Amino acid sequence: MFEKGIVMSKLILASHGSLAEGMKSALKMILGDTVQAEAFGLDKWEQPQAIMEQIQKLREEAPEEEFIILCDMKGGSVCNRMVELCSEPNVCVISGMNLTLAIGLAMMPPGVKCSEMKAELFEEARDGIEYFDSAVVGGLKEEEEDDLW
Amino acid sequence: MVSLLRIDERLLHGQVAVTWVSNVQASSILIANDEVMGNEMSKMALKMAKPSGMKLAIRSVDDGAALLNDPRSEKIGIFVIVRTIADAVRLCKQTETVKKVNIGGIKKREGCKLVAAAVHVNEEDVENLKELDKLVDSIEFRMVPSDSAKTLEDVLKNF
Repeated sequence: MFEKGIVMSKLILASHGSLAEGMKSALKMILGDTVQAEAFGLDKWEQPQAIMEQIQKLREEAPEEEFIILCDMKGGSVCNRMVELCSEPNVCVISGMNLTLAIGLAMMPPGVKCSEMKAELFEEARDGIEYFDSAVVGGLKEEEEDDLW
Repeated sequence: MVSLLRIDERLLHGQVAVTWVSNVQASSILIANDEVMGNEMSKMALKMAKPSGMKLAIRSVDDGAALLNDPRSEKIGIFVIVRTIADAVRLCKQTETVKKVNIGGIKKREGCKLVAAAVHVNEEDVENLKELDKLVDSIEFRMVPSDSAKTLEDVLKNF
């Protein structure tokens, strides 16, 4: 399948409520059912500790893989707990979950480490936060650029 | 050069922008749809869905065909999107640049049958599909590149 030595990555979504499971469902809707991601929300898992233990189990099953843990909020209890996992090699935690970022992470080519892609992915996710109202949309009309070449 | 013609009820949206556009070799997107031309708000929304770094042109079906026939279009990869099978036929009758067609979402109407994921067709669509088949090299049905594709034969069998 993949050459030896190539880092495979596992995307893990962790959140308050059921945001993680909802985010996974949105990812599947956009990228198709083959998308690989694990989702852990506190509605189901109750304690950040339980999520951490579950992720540790997954780590034992796939010690070679890079674990990318995408959390809902920096400073939140889930994220704080997940950051503790960073003491292990091949684990990284990203806060500020949103769909653009989750798509970017889910579509990372095999063999690429998250640290190599993060600048690009974060920029894209930040660009995805915008404000629209009638004045803004009215202004957009003026923007020309409607050609193929 | 047209990389792919996509038939999708929703025209350009997140799923198309993220999955198809990165999957086919294209630097430009052409949306060919008559209704959108008269609606500034939907034109704006479509412009917002444009992936960064790509060119986007929104035209009527007829003007879209003219754009594809422009010699400058031969040198670049173009991803074309129309809303209906009938529009695809209309477009392909006016240009020979379209070789591959992907059908990803057609909404439910009177007398429709679900023949592939999110694809609802009626008698008229079936006739149009047969006509489209004569105009292009290949037709496939799937929502995203990672799904397995259904052929026109599969779909006609289901109807």
